[in-house]
Amino acid sequence: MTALRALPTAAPPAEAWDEIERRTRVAPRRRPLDRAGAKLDWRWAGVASAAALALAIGAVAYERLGAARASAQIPALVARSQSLERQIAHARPDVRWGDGRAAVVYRLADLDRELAPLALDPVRDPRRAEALWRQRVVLMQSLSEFDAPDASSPSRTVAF
Amino acid sequence: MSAFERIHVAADVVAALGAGDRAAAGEVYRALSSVVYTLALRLLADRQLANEVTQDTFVEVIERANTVESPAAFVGWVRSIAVNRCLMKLRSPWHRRRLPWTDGDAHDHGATAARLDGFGDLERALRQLPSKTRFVVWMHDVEGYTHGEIALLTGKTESYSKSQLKRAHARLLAWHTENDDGRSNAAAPRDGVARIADGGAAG
Repeated sequence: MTALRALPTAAPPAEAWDEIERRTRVAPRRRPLDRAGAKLDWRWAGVASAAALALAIGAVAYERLGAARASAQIPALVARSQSLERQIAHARPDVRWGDGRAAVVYRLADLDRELAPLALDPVRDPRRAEALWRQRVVLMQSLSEFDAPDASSPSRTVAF
Repeated sequence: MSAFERIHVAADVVAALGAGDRAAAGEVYRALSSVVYTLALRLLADRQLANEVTQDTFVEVIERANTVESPAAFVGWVRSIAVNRCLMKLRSPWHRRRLPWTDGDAHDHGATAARLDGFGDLERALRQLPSKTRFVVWMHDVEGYTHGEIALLTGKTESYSKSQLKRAHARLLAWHTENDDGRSNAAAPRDGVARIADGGAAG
């Protein structure tokens, strides 16, 4: 099957590189402090340092509390999402999808791509993981509505 | 020889890419984007997914270039990322349902086939293979992977890879023979066309 090797190469769309650049762009680094021009008032520096320390401690405590709450909710969301997925798969495995269903499925595919690294280590960013899993449950519910008897109803909404 | 093996990226470009040089990233993209996109297009048979895989591959290459230890292995490393990205698409339950959805409808299939006109008959025949069979024949015959390597990638056995390859060759050969017959006798309509014509005449 040497003919396969002779098939011509194809070029990606012209805008692909712009998208890659946008996705890989990092924020410009901050310029270092111009030490020659800076005159430091040590009293105010002490006050500012103490305030910054207090703020940092508060922020860390708040962050840990929020992260702990988010972590606690993830298992229930994962279970709910998987339960809905099983129901949908068993309900109508050979269903033909319309545009609305396809849109939800595309969004789910994107969501799963975002979740893949977080699912391996949810502790790294529990808030993000919790938000994504919550969104997945909502999308699964939207998807299951397409299988409902009144699926042709125009009043149905799709959550994104 | 795989198209990837014909490409050389200089060691200093790889080093610059690893250091976060945007110009080096552009140079690497210009050198490898076509082969990455072509690989994805052949394996996935879907332009949109191939575009997504190309973008995902280069984003990963740019972000992880500082982990490359051997510049000589850089092109192979890029290919392995692209292949893994394709496998992720093929394995994703959502894309598994999406691909048959675009192929399953007769009207849509015709439209897709028309879009591929520029790629020729073999391209179309390859596209008509089941995705796993297409993966095996492309990785083995074009990219030069062994059955053992394909088995590792797909999570199947070597004999599975061999049987898929045999199946792919048989189907491509049958398609080629059928197509060749059709071309050699232009007056005689092909199978499907003949059936339609007969039915119309009878009706």
